[in-house]
Amino acid sequence: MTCHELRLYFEDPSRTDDKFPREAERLGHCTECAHFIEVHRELGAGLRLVRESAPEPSAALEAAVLANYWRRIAGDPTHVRSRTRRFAVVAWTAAAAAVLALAGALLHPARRLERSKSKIELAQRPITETSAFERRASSVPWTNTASAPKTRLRSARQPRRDPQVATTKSPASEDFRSLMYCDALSCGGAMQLIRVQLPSSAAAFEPAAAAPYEAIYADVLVGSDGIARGIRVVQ
Amino acid sequence: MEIPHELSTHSDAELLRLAVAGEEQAFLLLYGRLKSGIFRYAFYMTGSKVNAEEVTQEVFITLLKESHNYRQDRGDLAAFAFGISRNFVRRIARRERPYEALPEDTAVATLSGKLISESDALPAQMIRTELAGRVQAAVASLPDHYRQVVVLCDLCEFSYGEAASRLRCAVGTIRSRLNRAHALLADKLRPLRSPQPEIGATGPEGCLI
Repeated sequence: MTCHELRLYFEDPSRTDDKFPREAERLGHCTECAHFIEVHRELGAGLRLVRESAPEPSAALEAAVLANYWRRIAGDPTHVRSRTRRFAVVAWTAAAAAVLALAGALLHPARRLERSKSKIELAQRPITETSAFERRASSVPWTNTASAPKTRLRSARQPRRDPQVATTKSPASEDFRSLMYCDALSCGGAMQLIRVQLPSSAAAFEPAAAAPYEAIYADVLVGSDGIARGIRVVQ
Repeated sequence: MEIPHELSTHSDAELLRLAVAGEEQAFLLLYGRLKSGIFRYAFYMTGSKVNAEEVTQEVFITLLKESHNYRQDRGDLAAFAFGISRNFVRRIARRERPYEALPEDTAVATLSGKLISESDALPAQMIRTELAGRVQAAVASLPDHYRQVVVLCDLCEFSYGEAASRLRCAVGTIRSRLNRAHALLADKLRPLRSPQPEIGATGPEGCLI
């Protein structure tokens, strides 16, 4: 037997060790072959140890597989997981829910605070500090917001207006009648426009209405000090 | 649970057909035939008993679900089940790749050197456990195409023909891959052995080739 044949012999999975002693006599003459055989024997012993140390599938696995089988036969697509897997799924779901709740709790107050700050800034903005965009918007005729195109630019730059309370741009430019003496200093600052309903007889400055007891609507300008500065009948 | 004798003569494919039709005994017999190979393959490939059980369970669920996709002319049912288990093993490997680091060669060498130096002081059982762990780690560190062959032929004790049908390659490919894998394993486990003798220590005739 040559060294090559010896190696082929050891690489053959169908070899049996009872054939080996007949060929062993030549090992004393070739150290490399002896080393090769030693390596393969040690590797074989190690692999045998790994084979023997393999665990057996647990009884819970068979129960779970059988339960899944019956669910499958009954037409229920949900699977019965083993206890470890089920626990892992529940734990991960709970963790994800907790993270989402925490993120929501952290983000919600911050967003509310931001919104309230923008409201305060809007309310406190002086009349003279209108932006160029607003000035441009006030120069064009009013259009219905429902028919106007809702672009991102518009929604980002133009604050949402309250339907009943809104800041005014310039009282002098509108048809407001003054309700008190108003100098430049007292008229400075933010003013609010409030629409009120009152009997036409109360509007003594207006020409007599067709029906004296008919309700009319009027816009009232209220300063930041809470005092009405002007009124305009709208209907 | 006792399996009726007449069922034991049925082939795996017939048992699957009966199981899908609602025959519980057929399913149990099929489970008994296939579970060991699937579980052991999954265990050696994933290195985890929990993952191996998960794979085994998923394989049988998929077998029932995809039984209409099995074609007898393309191979036996065990090979079909093995293909499913191989896909699940790959899926688990992808899932757990960020969390599990395979031991590097240097780590294996360091561990084996330490093992040799302490081998006299350790009880035999601990040495066996350590050795098995080292060999398993060395197998796990092999490239996938070598590892598949070692797991099937050496650890699951499949024949070359069975391994070839499972992996859908030629028997010669299995043989050459196994030889190469053994050489790699021997290199990885080299520190465990005594140092190689000098060339000059060969016998008077030397090597014949």
